[in-house]
Amino acid sequence: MKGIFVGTVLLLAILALVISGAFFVVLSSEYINLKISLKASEILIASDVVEAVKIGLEKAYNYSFFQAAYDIGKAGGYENELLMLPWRMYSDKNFPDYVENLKKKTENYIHEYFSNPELEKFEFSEPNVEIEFSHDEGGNLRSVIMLVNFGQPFKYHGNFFTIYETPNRTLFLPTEYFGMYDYGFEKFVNKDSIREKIEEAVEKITTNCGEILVEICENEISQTKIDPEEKLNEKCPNVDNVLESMTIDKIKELETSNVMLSIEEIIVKHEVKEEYNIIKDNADCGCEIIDWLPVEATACADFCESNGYEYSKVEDSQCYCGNCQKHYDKHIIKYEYSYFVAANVRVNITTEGLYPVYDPLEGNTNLRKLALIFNVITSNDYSWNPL
Amino acid sequence: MKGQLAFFDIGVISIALVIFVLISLFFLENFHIYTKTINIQIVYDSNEAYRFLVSLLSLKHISNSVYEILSYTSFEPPSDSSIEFINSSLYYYFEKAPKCYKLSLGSKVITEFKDSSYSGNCRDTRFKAVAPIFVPYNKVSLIEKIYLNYER
Repeated sequence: MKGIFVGTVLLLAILALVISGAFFVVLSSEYINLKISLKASEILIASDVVEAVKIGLEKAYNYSFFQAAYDIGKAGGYENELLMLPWRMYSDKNFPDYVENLKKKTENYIHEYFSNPELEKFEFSEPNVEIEFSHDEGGNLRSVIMLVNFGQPFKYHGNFFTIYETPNRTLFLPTEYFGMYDYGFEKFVNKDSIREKIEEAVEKITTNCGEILVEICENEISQTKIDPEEKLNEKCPNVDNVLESMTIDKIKELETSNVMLSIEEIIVKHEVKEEYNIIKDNADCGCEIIDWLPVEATACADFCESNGYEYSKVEDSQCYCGNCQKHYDKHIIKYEYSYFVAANVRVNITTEGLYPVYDPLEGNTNLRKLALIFNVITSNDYSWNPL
Repeated sequence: MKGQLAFFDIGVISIALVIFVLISLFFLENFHIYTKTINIQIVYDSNEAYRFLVSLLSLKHISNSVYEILSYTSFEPPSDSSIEFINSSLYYYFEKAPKCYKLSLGSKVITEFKDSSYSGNCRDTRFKAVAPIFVPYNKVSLIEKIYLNYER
């Protein structure tokens, strides 16, 4: 009986050990499972957050480019508006290295996006932006791509894990933005279209007001004072003002739906050059020397006239008839007027499309056209630089 | 005889104990499976809203992606057709009408729905996801958070 009792107790003890062991194993396993599940859940959520950021990478690059393009365009392709130079100063050309400026600015904005506190669990290395152009056989711009590369993959730091992903992307950029620079360069730097328009206006005014001839006899010179400005004003009143408005109208002819020109300053002047020509012994002028002949006549004037003389006079009761031996010379003065116009024109070229950009003056973000704004200072005579 | 009875008793007790052990282990195993299933369900549920949100962000509606539509919200409210598209996409994910759902960018509600039986504000829901999205450049914030909350 004693043996049975001991055996039963032993069995129960073993059984209790087995069951408690099993419970311990199961419960600890449950605890581990729960931890694994929580960690798995954290990893899955993290991978979804990383996925959302990955979807947004191209948007962030696009937004960075648009903002950079907006800023650089408003500064005429220069880094900022303080460094802005006119693209043309008479014969000097200042075309900016806008692609380099655009790259730098885009990199800065991408960096700004990725250093945002909202992405504290993410780690991005420094971005490097490259812009590549491709042209068709005719030399026309076909496409522009932006390659955004990072030295290292970006990292998402979880509590007990790290996710690595590549942030490198290649994006197509709007060609119309780069087209503005090509157009601006071709139209206002390579070819000085504003100067051509000034020349057209000057040519038109010169046709009517470029030359004035004044004929004056030798004997009248001392009594007559000729003012070429007065003469010009008689023929072409307010000629400088007329030329100014004519030039503005001509320059405005260069405007299109996407190209606006505003004349910030315009200076007009004219110069006069005199040229003398003398026609000797001109019958139109009075007679300088008369060859007098004394005649016997009671009616002196009638006698001389009926006998073919041009002049008659009576001196000391003696009648004289005479013909002109020498006339006065005729002076022909040619006034040649040269016209000069210099203008400082602000060129504003815009895209057709609208892009989401921030405008610091308006203080908000909105869909706006990208603009390229620069100045051109030119004149019809590059040696005259009044601006 | 006495010795035979003792053996018989021991045998019966042993068999009973073995059955008990087997039943216990079976119960424990069932318990284990049950908790495991619950855990997987929790993992699945906690991730479901994120999956929906990420899928939604990668969709495209007409010329713009849903990502762009949402990120433009700060200055251009989504058009009615965009909202309709987002709603229909969410319904497609939910498979059957939820009690409530709310999609919001920061504090701005983009679209929401509440069943007549649901009385909450659909904010602190069992199913929820939040992800950062890049918004067009501005001086205030470059990244906003997009929230998807729903209750089945």
